[in-house]
Amino acid sequence: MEERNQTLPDDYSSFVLPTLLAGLNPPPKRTVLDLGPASGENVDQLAIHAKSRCKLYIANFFEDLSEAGPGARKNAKTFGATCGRLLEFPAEESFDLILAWDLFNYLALDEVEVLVGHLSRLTKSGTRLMAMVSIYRQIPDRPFRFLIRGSDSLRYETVSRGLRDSPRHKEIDLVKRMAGFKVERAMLLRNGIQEYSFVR
Amino acid sequence: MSVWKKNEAEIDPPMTTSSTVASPTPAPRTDSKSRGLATIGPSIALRGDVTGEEDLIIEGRVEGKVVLKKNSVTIGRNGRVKADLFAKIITVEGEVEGDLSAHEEVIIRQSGKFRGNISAPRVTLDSGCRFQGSIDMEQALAQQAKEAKATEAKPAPKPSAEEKQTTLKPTMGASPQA
Repeated sequence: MEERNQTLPDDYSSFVLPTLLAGLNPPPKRTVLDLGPASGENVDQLAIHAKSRCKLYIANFFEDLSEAGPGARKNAKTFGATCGRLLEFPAEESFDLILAWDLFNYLALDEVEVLVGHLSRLTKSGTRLMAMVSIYRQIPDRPFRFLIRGSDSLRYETVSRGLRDSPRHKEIDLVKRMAGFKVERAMLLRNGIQEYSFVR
Repeated sequence: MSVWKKNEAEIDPPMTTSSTVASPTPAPRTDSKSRGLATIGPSIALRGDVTGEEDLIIEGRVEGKVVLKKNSVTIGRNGRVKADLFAKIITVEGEVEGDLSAHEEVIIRQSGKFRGNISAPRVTLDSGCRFQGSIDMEQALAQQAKEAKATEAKPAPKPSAEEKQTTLKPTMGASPQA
C-alpha cells in the first residue's frame, strides 16, 4: 500500500466530487477558489459544470508558501501574515467552493486553523471545502497535482519523487480547527486518501 | 501586493525608457504573413500606453497599458510586462502582472508566469504554467454577447472569406499535457 502512493499518477474515483460539481450548477453565478496549481483541465471542467457562470480564483498556495521561505510559517502569527499576503481577495468576494485538495497534508493543525480562519471571512452558509488527507505514514514531499477527469474522477499527478512524513490528521482534530465548518461527507478511498467535503 | 486588488502606488520606478508608444519597433518582415507584426526587442524597456493595429511580440519590458483590440499580443519568453492588456488574442510565454482582456482567447504557455485577472471567452492554461489570479467566465460571456449585439445593430460591410469568423464557444480550454 505504501508503494502505491509513490507510483501515481493514476485516475481514481472521487466520492465527493459529484456533489461539489453539481453544486456549481447555476443560478446564481458561483465563485470558486482553487488553492492548487493552475490546470487547464480543471478550468475546463469547472466551466462546464457551472455552465460558464463562474468566477475562478487560482492561488497555488503551497508553491507560493514554499517560495516565501521558512520564516513565513515560523509561528501562527507569521503564518497568518503570510496567508494575508498570499490570499488577499476583494472584500466583497464570497466563495461557494474552496478546493484545498491535499494541502492539509502539508500543514500543521495550527496552520490549518489559521488558513481556514483567514478564508472564513470570505465564506457563507453553504460554502463547501474539499480536502484530502492521507492515512499513510509517508507522502510525496510536494502536494499532488489533481486534475478533474469527469464528474467523479480525479487524476493524481506526482510533482516530485521525494517523500516526507505525513501528519495523518484525524477528522476530529481537523473539525476542531475548522471553525464554522462541519463534515458533510467523508470517504476513505482505496488509495489511502480520505476525501472530505466540509460545509459551513 | 494583492493580485486581485491592484494598488497603483506599488508600481516600480520608471524603467530606462519612458514614453507613450504609438507604434512599437517593427520587426524585420520576411514574408507576407509577417506583415503587420511588430516586436519590442529584449533590450527595450518602455513605460506608457502601447496602441496600434499590428500584431505585437513583446520580448522586452513594458509597464503601462497595451491596447491592440483587433490584433494579437504575444509576451515572449524574455518579455516582462506589468500592464493591463486588451487584444484579440493574448499569449503569455514570459512574465505578466496585470489584467488581461481578450476578445477571443488568452493562452498561458508552460513557460508563462501570470499574476492578475483574465476576461476572455476562451482561456488555455498549459500544464506547468504559473498562474495566480482569477478567471471570470461570466464576464467573458457578457462581453461576447455585447459585441454580438453591437455587430447585429451595425450592418457591416460584406466580409471576405479570410475575414469570416466562427462563433466562439463560451468554454474554457485545456491544452494537451506537456
